[in-house]
Amino acid sequence: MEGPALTVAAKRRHESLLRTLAQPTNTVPKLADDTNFEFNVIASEELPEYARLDLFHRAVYPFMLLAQFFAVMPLIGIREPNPRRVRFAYKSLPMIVTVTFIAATLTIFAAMLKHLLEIGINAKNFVGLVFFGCVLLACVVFIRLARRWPHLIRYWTRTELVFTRAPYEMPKRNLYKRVQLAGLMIIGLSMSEHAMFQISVILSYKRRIQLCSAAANVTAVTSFEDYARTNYDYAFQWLPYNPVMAALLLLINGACTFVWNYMDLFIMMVSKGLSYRFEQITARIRKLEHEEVAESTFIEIREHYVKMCELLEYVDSSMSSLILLSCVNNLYFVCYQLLNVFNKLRWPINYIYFWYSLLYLIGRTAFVFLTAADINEESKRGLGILRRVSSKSWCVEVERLIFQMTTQVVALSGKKFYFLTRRLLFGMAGTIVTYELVLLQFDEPNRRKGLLPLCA
Amino acid sequence: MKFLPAKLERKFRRLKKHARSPLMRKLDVMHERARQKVFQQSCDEYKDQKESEFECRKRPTKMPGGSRETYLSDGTFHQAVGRVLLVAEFFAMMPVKGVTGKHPGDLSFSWRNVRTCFCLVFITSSVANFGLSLFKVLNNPISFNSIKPIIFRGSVLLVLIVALRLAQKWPALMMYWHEVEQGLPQYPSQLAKWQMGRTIRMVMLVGMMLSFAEHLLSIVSAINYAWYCNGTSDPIKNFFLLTNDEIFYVTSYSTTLALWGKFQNVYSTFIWNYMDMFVMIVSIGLAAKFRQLNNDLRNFKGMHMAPSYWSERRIQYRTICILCDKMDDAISLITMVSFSNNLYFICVQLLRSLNTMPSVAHAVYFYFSLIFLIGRTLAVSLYSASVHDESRVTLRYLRCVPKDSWCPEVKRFSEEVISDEVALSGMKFFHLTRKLVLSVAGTIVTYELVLIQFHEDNDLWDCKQSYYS
Repeated sequence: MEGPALTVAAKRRHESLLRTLAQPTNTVPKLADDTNFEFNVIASEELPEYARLDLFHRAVYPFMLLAQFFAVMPLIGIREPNPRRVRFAYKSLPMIVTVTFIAATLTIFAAMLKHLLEIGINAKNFVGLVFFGCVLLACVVFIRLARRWPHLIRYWTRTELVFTRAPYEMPKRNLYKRVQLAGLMIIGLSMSEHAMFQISVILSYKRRIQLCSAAANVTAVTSFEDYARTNYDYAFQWLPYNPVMAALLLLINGACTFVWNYMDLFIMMVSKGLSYRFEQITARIRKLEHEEVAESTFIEIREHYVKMCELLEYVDSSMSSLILLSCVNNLYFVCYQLLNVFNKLRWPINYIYFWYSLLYLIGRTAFVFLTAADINEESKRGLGILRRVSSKSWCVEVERLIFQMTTQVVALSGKKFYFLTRRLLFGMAGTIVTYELVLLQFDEPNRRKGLLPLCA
Repeated sequence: MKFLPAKLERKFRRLKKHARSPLMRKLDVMHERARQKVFQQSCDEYKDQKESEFECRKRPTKMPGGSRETYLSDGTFHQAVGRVLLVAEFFAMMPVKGVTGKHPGDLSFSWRNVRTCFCLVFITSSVANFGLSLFKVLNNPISFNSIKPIIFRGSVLLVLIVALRLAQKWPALMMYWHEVEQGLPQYPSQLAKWQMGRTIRMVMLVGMMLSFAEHLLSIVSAINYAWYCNGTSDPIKNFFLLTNDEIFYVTSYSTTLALWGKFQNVYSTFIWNYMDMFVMIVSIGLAAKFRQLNNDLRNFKGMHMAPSYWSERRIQYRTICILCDKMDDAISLITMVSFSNNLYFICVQLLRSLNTMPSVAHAVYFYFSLIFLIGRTLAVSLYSASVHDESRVTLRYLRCVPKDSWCPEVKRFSEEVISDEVALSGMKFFHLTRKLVLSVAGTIVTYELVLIQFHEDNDLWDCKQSYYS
């Protein structure tokens, strides 16, 4: 008879059974993963000084901060030098501003749509709808990008930290200066374009009132109310008029113009950031041209090149919708403006504004395309030097790198439908000219009618 | 209580065959009871635990799409596509026996089967309908719009004949597909297995629902038109006279002919939609195979793997490419008919949108059908382009192979992936990639610009004209 022994054994088994049942599932303790190590968060090393490094985050943050004032890309913590502090939250001030802006633009869009459905849509007045529609879509796309931005910028900084140390050299103009120059240029030109638009409209309005009242022998009365009612008649059919509403309308119009330009500015900044790193790789390869190089150097170069390609693919998958939207937008507006090239306009100020805005549009489109195509160009520039590597330094890694550079298309894309290369710009220019020739034929009878009577 | 002295007590106990003293016996009894109690307790707890586990098993957690069949499915293409082909069989397409079976070995095609006979009867009736349509169109002035019924009926007829030939080859194709699937790396989880089946079912469901809605709207619009152009006193007769005008061009009205015309119409609309669904479903299946291989490669990204591993993966990639080739040969004609069809119908409908809409019902039907058409074309293009895209993703993992594991096998693999164009095609004239979508959009815009030049605004509701012009 086992007696007490069985009792004790059974008790022990019983207790252990209870213990295993009562224990929660063992969670593996969070070890420091690779990200921590690459960010140098080890006790022995000090944190890199993000403020002094030549990083993309530091180059881009002034423009992203400016954009937040215009209710685009709502993020928190952009000003901090450490990219880990960038966060996106639904309940934050930037998000509230963005949502308000979207609501206001949606109201204007709806008012315009209602007005156009009443008077009938044609190719000429459709452009306003397209403008506001594009701005709304751009806001939504930017919010979705902002949700992915914290993870993206951390991955980006992690990848490019390697390029901030030796043996990579900083090119002549560093990233910060390049981005600032291009960004300030675009913002300056777009602001002057908007200013000229306002001047042109105001002057036309004044002259029209003067001429019409002189013709009808009535005193000329120009006022802000009259001006707002004439130019934004579609909005004031729906909304009640008061000066605050009119001022808000003008403000939202200005903000929409900024968002419309910001799409291209953002793509340009990201392209510059990526092609800068490829330029550094090319420079390093160029330095090795006449030297005897160990295989380990080539292994390292190829590894960094692959890392950059992966970063590019990740950025492309996040930004593809934005690029597609921007391309469609630019294409439509360039086609539309080119259609009006042979139109007769009433006053010289209208001619000045029209040509300035046309040249600005074409220039901005070409600039963004060329900057984005630069990534593709930079990535292949090392090929010439690699092919000249001496037989002593030749190894499998060089062969692999050449194979990669020749066969893979390293470029941003519009949802993988087309890749932003120089060939595409050329093709698009040809397509635009073809369509313009056909569309100009269409418009010939309308244009022969000339200017409409001034005082209706 | 002690009655006897200790010695005698012990002798007495031995006589009584008691080994222990009363105290010990009491303790024994107490221990026994306690032990039994604990034992019972632990047994009860054990039983409760087992019961609760059993309860959990009796009511499994509701997984999305979780029915017994999906729980037991193997994640193979044959099982995923079974129900879709069954629906098609009711509409006289793909008369293969045993599509809902578990193993593709159950598939068989025979000329004497009831399905095949139904299919042949339907083909004959479609030929008759096509002939009548052709006769009517050729006897009237021909324009870009007026050949619409011929294109519609002609493409449906062509697809039916091609589907019959495909049904003959289908058992062999599915057996080969099964072989390829057996050779691929295993799915990591049950949910991953059912992913392809779920996508296929969702695509089929959404497609069928939208096409059914479009057909209902077309009937509503036709009723509206018939009520407006009341040629005779019977509204039903008006309706049939208008929608099946090619039949009543040569014969006089009769109910059987009208019903035959309606039946033909419904089946043709289904087959016209099913073309695109079929291409989409085959693309989803092929892309899923490439994805299976890529997911396995991703697990070992950047690691040092033996050459035998790369050799195995290369051979698996090759078998999937051969499978893609075989499927392409089988459905190439359907793909080409589907794409040309879509191109023509989008051009025609965009041209008709320039006319003024006679009524709200007609406007609703027209814009819904235009958006459905464009959406369906876009979906087919994107799903079939995904086969090509998925086949290129392999390169991403090959370029991360470290120097020490680089061997001729990996080199051969990467060169194969780069140089081979793996994609579905339309009779090898064009390959279905994302670039094609852009060029098709450009083609449509170009043709529209030219056609708009020759457009004259005609009244859509001129009762003397055909409903389709």
